[in-house]
Amino acid sequence: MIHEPTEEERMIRASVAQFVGREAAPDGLARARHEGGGFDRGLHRQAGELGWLGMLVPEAYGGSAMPVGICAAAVEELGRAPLMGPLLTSGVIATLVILEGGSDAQKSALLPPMVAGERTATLAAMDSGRGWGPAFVTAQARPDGDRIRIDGHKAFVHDAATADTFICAARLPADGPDAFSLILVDAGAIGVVIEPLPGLPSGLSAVSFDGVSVPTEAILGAPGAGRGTLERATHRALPLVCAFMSGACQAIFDFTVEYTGQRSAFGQLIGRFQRVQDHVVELANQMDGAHWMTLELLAKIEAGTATAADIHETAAVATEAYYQVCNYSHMVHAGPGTDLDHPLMGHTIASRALYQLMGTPDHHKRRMMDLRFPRGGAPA
Amino acid sequence: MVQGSTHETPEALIPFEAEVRAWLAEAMQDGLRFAWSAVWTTRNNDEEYAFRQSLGRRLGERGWLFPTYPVEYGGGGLTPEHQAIIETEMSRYGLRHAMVFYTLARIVAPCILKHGTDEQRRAFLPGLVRGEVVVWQVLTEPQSGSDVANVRTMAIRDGDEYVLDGQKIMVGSHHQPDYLWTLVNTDPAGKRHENLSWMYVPATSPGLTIRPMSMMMGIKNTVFFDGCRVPAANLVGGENSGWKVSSTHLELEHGGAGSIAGDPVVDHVLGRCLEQQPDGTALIDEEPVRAILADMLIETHINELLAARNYWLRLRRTPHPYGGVQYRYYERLLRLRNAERVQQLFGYEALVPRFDLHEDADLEHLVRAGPGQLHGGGTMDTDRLVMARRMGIGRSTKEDAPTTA
Ligand SMILES: Cc1cc2nc3c(=O)[nH]c(=O)nc-3n(C[C@H](O)[C@H](O)[C@H](O)COP(=O)(O)OP(=O)(O)OC[C@H]3O[C@@H](n4cnc5c(N)ncnc54)[C@H](O)[C@@H]3O)c2cc1C
Repeated sequence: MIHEPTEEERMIRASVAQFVGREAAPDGLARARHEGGGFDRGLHRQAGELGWLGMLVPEAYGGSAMPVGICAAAVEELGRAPLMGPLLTSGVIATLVILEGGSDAQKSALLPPMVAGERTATLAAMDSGRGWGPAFVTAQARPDGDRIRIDGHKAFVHDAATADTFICAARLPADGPDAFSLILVDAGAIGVVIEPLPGLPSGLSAVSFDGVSVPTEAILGAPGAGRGTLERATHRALPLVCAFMSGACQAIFDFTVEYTGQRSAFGQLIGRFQRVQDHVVELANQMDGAHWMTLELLAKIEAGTATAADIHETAAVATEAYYQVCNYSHMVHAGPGTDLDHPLMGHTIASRALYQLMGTPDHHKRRMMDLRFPRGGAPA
Repeated sequence: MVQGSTHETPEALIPFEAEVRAWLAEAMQDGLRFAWSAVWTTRNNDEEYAFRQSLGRRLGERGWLFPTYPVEYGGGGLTPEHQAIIETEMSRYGLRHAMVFYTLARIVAPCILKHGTDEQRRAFLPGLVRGEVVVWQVLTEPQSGSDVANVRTMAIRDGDEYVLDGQKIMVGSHHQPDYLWTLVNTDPAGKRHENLSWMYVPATSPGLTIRPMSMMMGIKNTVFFDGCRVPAANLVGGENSGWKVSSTHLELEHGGAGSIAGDPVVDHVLGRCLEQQPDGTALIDEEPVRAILADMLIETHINELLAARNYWLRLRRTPHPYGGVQYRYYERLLRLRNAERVQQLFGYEALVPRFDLHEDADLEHLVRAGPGQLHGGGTMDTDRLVMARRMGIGRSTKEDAPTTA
């Protein structure tokens, strides 16, 4: 189970680390995000030039289709910063949704500029922010001549203010109670209203689709196929999000341990207090749980043996770990760790934003149990 | 509000309760529209602050800000039961009695009452007790956080004045103070704990600069003292005797004052779970929601009992040996757990502030404050240290809780 990084993996890691270190000094990130800045189109284009936005994408659409281990290594480095934003929501999540659900024409039109870092897309899936799943898709799509008219309100969309394309989940009249369709909507279309939301994480917006008219070809893949597409894309995206969070935990561990050897109180280094040691011990247990489970999951994916239950289990562990690792680090840093300029703050904000990204830890635990132990399945 | 912490009004005080209720109904008329604002900059509102200040002053005029304090210092000369009525009635408006306008008089006035000279009480207390001035508590320094006694800000006597040099961090709020209640070192050669003094420093003193810091919960400040001159008469509790004043200060800061108000965020969470959804169901019917709510309600109930216990013991001048710090520790870790629970329950909805709600009831504020509110005035680790000391664990004598006036 011990994973030896390949040369290729080491190189991509170094390249991302260098970029993150140079272009996005971690100290400034929390503040930039807090003040609503954060997204830098130039930065995104550079990421495109360096090839990472194409890591998941086949060559036919301008990418390089790297093995999942390599992609995870790169995303892990983003997590260390932490650099979320469209690198994650467009470069990973929306990209995978388009790959999993798009027709060849749609992929050819959308992916090359996304790979180049010239355009971004974001998922506007759930109408309510309270949960993840078909029950939370309530937007309506109605045939209107040879076009489709969308009405709905997506209460929480990541990086909407800077997105060029929305992938909007909506129900066509023909979609059954558990089905929905994914529809591509231009951010500039008439009737799209983006309202950036205040609050701890920046980059969240509410997006209204008020009678937005799109051609039928805007349906991603087949009508009614949204649920399956989203499920497949989620199962590919979650392991990478886990890698992001695992990388983030390691970065926090590093600077937290360092601090215990620098800060003094009562005439001694705080690392000598058992209570401080306890915080770091709990932090490390959370971090290592997330780290090793993510590595195992990636190995299973490469071997073709990963199940959906494995993915949900890992997502539950890594999401909870990132959240708790931030808390333990706060306990060690106390006051100075709550300064918005402190590197920990960017992580605290990211860990709260990612907590319910594609379902909360509780959601993933329920999915894991339902998949492994279907209800009513007790042996007679 | 959980039943266990509510208090039966004695028969003789029912007219007083009616008086307070009627007075507040009138005084709060113009304030009802401000229910959404509160302590931190994340929802700063100058108009609301002005209202709070005038409300504080009007309460102060009647002696209702410090109901049990002597009339000569601006107090109400009333009983603890009167105070409980005033606090209960105010909490109906989401107002915490001691924090009407974000001043820390609730900590500073008891310190001056207990440790000041007669002259100092007459000079400093009425302003605080009548709600006329805003005071900050100014202790923390870059090298002195948990280790409060490690103060490097020097105050050297020069004739009738002290000259202050040094730096404080993470203090105050976004509303400018009139006074700084600050801990200084008055003897560079003195022994630890025998070199400290408390000063009541006018914010207008020459050589004093305040610079804001952006923190996750809002604005705190750095304070620089550069040859800042303060009258010697403003040193409270005796030169180099500051450590004994600190014990009063810290006991109050550490929760010894207790509380009889409920936690509005829990009421809000419960209300949302009971609300009927468009499809006719309510969240409270979902099993996972019920399990989370049960924990939240039970722990909140316990917390309110600890708070009410401290409140009544303090007003009776019989403080609980370790109860002050126990309550604070319990409450802070509860808030940290609740911060995650509201994300479990409401997902993204818990990340966006609702400005129509009081900050104390708002989910985003709870999430934002979760890991930051653990450390104000001391960390969970030093809380456990103090609690153990007060229980006499690992030592031959128990440390007593100070009475706090
Ligand atoms: C929201 C907020 C509001 C604040 N408001 C004010 C204010 O109004 N006025 C003011 O003066 N200050 C204020 N502070 C500062 C606060 O008092 C300090 O943050 C606190 O005392 C802890 O000090 P520190 O942050 O320097 O942590 P440190 O003392 O550096 O602690 C670092 C770590 O060491 C641990 N540690 C330290 N000593 C021990 C020990 N003996 N045993 C075991 N573990 C130990 C701590 O628990 C922590 O884990 C505020 C802080 C916050 C976060």
